[in-house]
Amino acid sequence: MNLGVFADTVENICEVPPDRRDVARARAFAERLMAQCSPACREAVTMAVQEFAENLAKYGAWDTPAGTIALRLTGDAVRIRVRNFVRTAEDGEQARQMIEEINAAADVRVLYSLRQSELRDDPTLPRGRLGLLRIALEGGFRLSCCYEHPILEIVAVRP
Amino acid sequence: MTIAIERSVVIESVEFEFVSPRKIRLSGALMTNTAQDELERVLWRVHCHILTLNIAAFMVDVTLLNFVTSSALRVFINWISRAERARYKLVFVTDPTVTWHRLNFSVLKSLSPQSVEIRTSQDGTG
Repeated sequence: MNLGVFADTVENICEVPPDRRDVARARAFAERLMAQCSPACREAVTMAVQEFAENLAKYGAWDTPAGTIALRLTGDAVRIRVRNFVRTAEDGEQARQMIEEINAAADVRVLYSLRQSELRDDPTLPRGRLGLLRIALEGGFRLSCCYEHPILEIVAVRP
Repeated sequence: MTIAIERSVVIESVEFEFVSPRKIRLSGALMTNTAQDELERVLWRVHCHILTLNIAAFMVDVTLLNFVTSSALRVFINWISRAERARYKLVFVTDPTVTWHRLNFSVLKSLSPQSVEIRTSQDGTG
């Protein structure tokens, strides 16, 4: 694996079982590690870690090892690696497709707006699916993904 | 008829406050499903209050709302949808120095430009 500028950095890992009570712990993990970074970077990373942790809590498989969120920092550049067992193949496929759509979009804001319009038009939709869009748009992260059922790994890099 | 709404409600790490009959303030962080569901219920009662008093524009001060998860954004999406159908305006007072305010409320406004107005705390309206 080519880690680029992150090659000489230590990876700090937080386990996130599929339990919503652990989302706050993941956020605290990010805030602690980001204490020395700029406010904008800290804000972006804590938001992204919170969103990833929420996804792990919502979509992670129950009867498998906990998902993990790993952070590497070099200055204000951040690499977040999220790895977990997905509950269903559909969950993994949807995450993969969403990242493809984000990477192909000329303007992620348009995708974000479209998704919010869908949620407005049908409040009964069971899944918001705004988290990855928000990480890309609001956090300024570049996303990539590797999915081989049942393992999903998402890497988010903020240069 | 008036709708009974508590003047101030603390839901986990988020606080809801009725500042006046035409304005509420949200502060803290909205991070869990439980808080999201409870806030949804409180805002439904606010919606009924707005309809009862036939209020044309209702102010929602989120200046001190530090963070919401993407799931919790649906609370605002649903409220905007209700406001659009009932033809009243939601005036969100935001802090443009907060990234999630700046990016999310402009997108929320695009959902229904005639039902959403964004003001900033620097406008002196907060």
